[in-house]
Amino acid sequence: MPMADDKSRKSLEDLDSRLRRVSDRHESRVQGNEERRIARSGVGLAFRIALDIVAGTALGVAIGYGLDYWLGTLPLFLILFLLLGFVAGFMNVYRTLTGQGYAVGYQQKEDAGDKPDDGARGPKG
Amino acid sequence: MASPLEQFKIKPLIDIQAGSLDLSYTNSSLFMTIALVLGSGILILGMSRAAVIPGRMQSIAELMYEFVGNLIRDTIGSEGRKYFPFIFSLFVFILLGNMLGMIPYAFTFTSHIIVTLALAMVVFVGVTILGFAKHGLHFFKFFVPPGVPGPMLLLLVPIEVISYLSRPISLSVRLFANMLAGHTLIKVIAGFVFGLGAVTFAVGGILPLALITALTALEILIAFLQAYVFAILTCLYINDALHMH
Repeated sequence: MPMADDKSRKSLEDLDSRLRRVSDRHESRVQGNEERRIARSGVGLAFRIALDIVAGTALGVAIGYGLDYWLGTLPLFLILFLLLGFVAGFMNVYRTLTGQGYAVGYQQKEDAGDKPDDGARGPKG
Repeated sequence: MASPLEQFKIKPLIDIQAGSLDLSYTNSSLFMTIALVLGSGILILGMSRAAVIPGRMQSIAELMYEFVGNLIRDTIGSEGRKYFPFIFSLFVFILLGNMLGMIPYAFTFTSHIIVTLALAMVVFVGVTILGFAKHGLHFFKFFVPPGVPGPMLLLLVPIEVISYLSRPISLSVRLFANMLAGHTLIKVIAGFVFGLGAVTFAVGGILPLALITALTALEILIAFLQAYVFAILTCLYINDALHMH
């Protein structure tokens, strides 16, 4: 049946071109743009900052209290690690706001600026 | 009226005691099982008759696959392919857990910190092992900022270590707090529908009812968003461990 064959090929070709158009549009969209928008939206950002500070502080207290409990030096390490945890929390916030995003661990700042592809890596960029 | 927090109560369905351990099959376990079966079911049924022009089920399966695939490609790059099964399972499990929770009378297992913390710890321990496997002891350089004079390291290294260790906490609390807060809020405002409606001949109930409708839509968005955030953070952590800076 040449007619039916022709028809199905035509529809497949049509589908192919339509698929290509969709995928082109998808590729051309600036990748990660939307992710960044979500990650940076007001409430989301505020929640993240609050969470970062609380998580850091809570962990500092936990470590400090644990050390004190173990060594029997009660307020010493608790105070020390409370402060360190608080600073660590702020460090995370600083990283978030300077565009190092979710990345933890030290990164050179020039590094982030040098690599052009960094901007395309979602909230990290 | 029922407390807004009653929906988070764990109820044992089948009592199982192993020594002093309580291994009961609870409503939480039930919904995890449902999420697992549903997730596998969608993928297996959807792909059982793989057609060029996908049907509904196949579309869902392909959408999820593409979504996670793109996410991994954008954040980790082609090296991330190896971790696709893990991230995909994690994403689907959390997404279904959050979405199942939106069904009335359903239980939201992601609203329990123990569940999200367990998931986050799997990610955290896995990523740490991955980092040590890839870089050996060089992984410790992660915590040492370059170009810092010696005495300052005494202060900075503990801060970096705490900041690294706080990852699973912020990862799990983010998911758990969002789900807990959202569901509690809906329940509290649902209480107003009755409370205000009863004293004003149902007129006062209209506003909170409209509010719940809007909040439910928002909650569905958050359910998706939080699963997405969990997946993307996992990707970024894996990326960090693979390419140390």
